[in-house]
Amino acid sequence: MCTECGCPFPPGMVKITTAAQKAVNLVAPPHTLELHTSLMRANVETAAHNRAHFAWADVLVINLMSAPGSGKTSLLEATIEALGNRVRIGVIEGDLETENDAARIRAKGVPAVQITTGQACHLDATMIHGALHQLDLSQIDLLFIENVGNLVCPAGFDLGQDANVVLLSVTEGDDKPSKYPVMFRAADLVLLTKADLAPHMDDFSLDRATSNIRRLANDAPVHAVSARRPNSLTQGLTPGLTPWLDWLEGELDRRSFPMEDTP
Amino acid sequence: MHELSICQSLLKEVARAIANQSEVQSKAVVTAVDIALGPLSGVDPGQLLRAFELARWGTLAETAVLRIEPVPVTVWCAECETESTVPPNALVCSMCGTWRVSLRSGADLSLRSVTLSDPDGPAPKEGTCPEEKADVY
Repeated sequence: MCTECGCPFPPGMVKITTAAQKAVNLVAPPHTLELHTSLMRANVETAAHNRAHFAWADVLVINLMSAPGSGKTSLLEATIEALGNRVRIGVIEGDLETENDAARIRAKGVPAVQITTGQACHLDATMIHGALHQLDLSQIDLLFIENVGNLVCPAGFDLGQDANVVLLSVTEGDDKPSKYPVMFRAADLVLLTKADLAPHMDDFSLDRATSNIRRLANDAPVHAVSARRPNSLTQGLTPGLTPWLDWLEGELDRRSFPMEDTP
Repeated sequence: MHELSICQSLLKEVARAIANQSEVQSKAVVTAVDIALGPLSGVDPGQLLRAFELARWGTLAETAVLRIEPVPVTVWCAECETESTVPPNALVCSMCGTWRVSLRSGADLSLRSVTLSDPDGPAPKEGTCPEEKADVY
């Protein structure tokens, strides 16, 4: 019987439990191997390997994470429109099924590799390693990894990226950072997307969203953006894409002029 | 629900730990696996226990129990020189309320120890069977 809630185990499970008890009864008094190993060790090592590939090819790698439907692919399309003529962009797409997102990116003339994870809820470093060898990194300055839409699992898996960018659309609610602290704590930049809809979302407060992110001891910049109205800043309406593009340019510059102590 | 893949990593680490041991212990049976788990690791202890029941099949830890030591979320405020135990979504100093704190613990996801028994060793004492699931949430 389950010790958590008292429910009966399914038949197969009962067998395992019985076998486990029996074997434990048969063996000698135990001795213990003291260890202090991260359970993410294998993933962290593969991520470091990926990071070395990216550094060698001088590629800035951004891991985009959000709930499904927060506008990751739309942001990428608008970003390619804005920067594609100056910056060589590549994209790795993660979804459970379909090539749809990679097809949208390729339609913009940018190389894209689609990873279909089947039932897996996140990308891991091994999947990224497989994908990066399908791209010519020497022809890429800026690589976006569009993670599986999920605010839970992707946060725990280092992929070898330079920065995590987490999207939160204004239609989702400003308390998402408090509901999903692991994800928002991992963010190096938070984009409040679909900001052109903000006037219609009177229960979403940019200040509250920011405050909830700060309460995760995270000082990451928080910017409202709109992929649908990328140039609206000049019209004095919503923030457009300018804060995001400025941030990206800053990261690209930093990469071009690395600090002296960088190996 | 990535606890199954976490379990597979866990079992790989267990196998690795045993492979590093001497020949004497190569026939040993894993009876318990102890891990430390903090809420900010993003891994759910209940899900992990259920996943372990399945994942351990056919491995060296097939008959092992998984024991999870919960690690509280603690933050350090340099201004107040105070450590506070806090909820995972309110990483603020309990003295002054600032969010400019550093995380001390709570993101833990580590293998602490592996307990082995030698099947050829002396007979066990009565009642040494560990609890099926001890010290869990």
